[in-house]
Amino acid sequence: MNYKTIELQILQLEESFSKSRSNIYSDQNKESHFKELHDLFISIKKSDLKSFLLGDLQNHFHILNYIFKGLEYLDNSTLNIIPFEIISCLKHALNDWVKKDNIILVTSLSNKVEGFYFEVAFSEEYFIQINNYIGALYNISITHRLIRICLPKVLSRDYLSSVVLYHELGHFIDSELNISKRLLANEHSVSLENASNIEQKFYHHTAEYFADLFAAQYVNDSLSIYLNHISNGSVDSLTHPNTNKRIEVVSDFLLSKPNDEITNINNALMISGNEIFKKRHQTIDSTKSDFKNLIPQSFKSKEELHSVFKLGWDCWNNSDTNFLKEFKLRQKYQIINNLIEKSISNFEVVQKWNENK
Amino acid sequence: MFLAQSSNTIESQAPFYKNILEGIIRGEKDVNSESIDNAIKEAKEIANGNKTIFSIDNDSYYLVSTILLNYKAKLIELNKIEISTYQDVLKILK
Repeated sequence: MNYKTIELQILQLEESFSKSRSNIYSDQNKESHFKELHDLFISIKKSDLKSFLLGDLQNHFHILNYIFKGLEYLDNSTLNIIPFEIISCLKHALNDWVKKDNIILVTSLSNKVEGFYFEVAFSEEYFIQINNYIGALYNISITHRLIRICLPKVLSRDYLSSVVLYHELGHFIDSELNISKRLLANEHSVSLENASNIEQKFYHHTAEYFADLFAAQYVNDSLSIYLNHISNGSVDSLTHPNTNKRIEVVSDFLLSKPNDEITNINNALMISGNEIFKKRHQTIDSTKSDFKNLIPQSFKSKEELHSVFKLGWDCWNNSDTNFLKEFKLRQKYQIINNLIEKSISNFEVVQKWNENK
Repeated sequence: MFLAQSSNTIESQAPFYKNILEGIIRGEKDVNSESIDNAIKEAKEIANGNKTIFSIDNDSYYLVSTILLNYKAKLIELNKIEISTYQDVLKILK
């Protein structure tokens, strides 16, 4: 790497900024984040790259990548693209775990149907380091931290598969709190970078159980139902436990049955000063729900709001016998998705209305 | 596959710490050098059994745990942080 690497990055980024300049964002924080990234970019552009030592060049390479990634997600989080309803549900779940007001949830829409994930490369520790560095060098700081969610474009309004995003949010929270890493270090005295295959398997499986349990707090067994549909009874791998074991752990959690995986994770959460996993949803009986009258469900609380996904799954699974039985298959799918979307949307509008009264 | 974990788990904060360490070794005064000393001290506390891995702040988890897990034997015997300590930590991060 030399200063030409950074010069090239600057030119590429300039192109990216010129395309993003006309974006209209869904909120003011995104607008100000864009401006801060641009200010940082201009400061770097004006700097004397040729005088930088290798360490500074490497840091600038990372910072420019950080700006690039920020723009990519901001571009996909404009007013008319952002999947507002699912993001609002995830925000409520996020607020239970991350008590900071400088966070912006942003999305990127993938062309791949399996493209659900949270990007965890930029941790809080990274955010602090980058701010320390640019603060000392350019007297600039970045106020907001982006939490980056990627979801398939084609499924961005499919609320049955959206339960996966609660699992992905679980991975993000695990990464924020370093729970699986702490358990790996405590159990095997090793970091992930130096772990053997067995140790890596321990880490990855713990992380999967963490994410599954995190999701189950909010969406009950909806994720297990979906997992069962897509995984076809998969066996243990380096990165994922077998599906049956995953479903069993979630089932034990929901039935409050003793389970070593749950105990280990909850102990780690507790001794590192966090809340433990518990049910954070209030189940809605599908046979008594508003959905059976083909109207959006009203919710009394956020706990009920999170249950809308379980409600949707219950309606889908019983759609040969319930209020949907006379509809064509495609209509059933559309009705459920529309009802979930409108239910969330109504809840959010009423919440905002009440806040501004 | 079957709910991917995340896009990237590479610890990308390492270059910033390396930069601070290289500055300290060159003898430059850096406002952020205190964070390195604090991380070494905290890792030593855990190595000596006075604290646990669960007590590390999330803001510095990567640095403290990396020092702890790769430098434990020397941490236990460490009395004073010297230039050679920074050089050892830099080698770990590289």
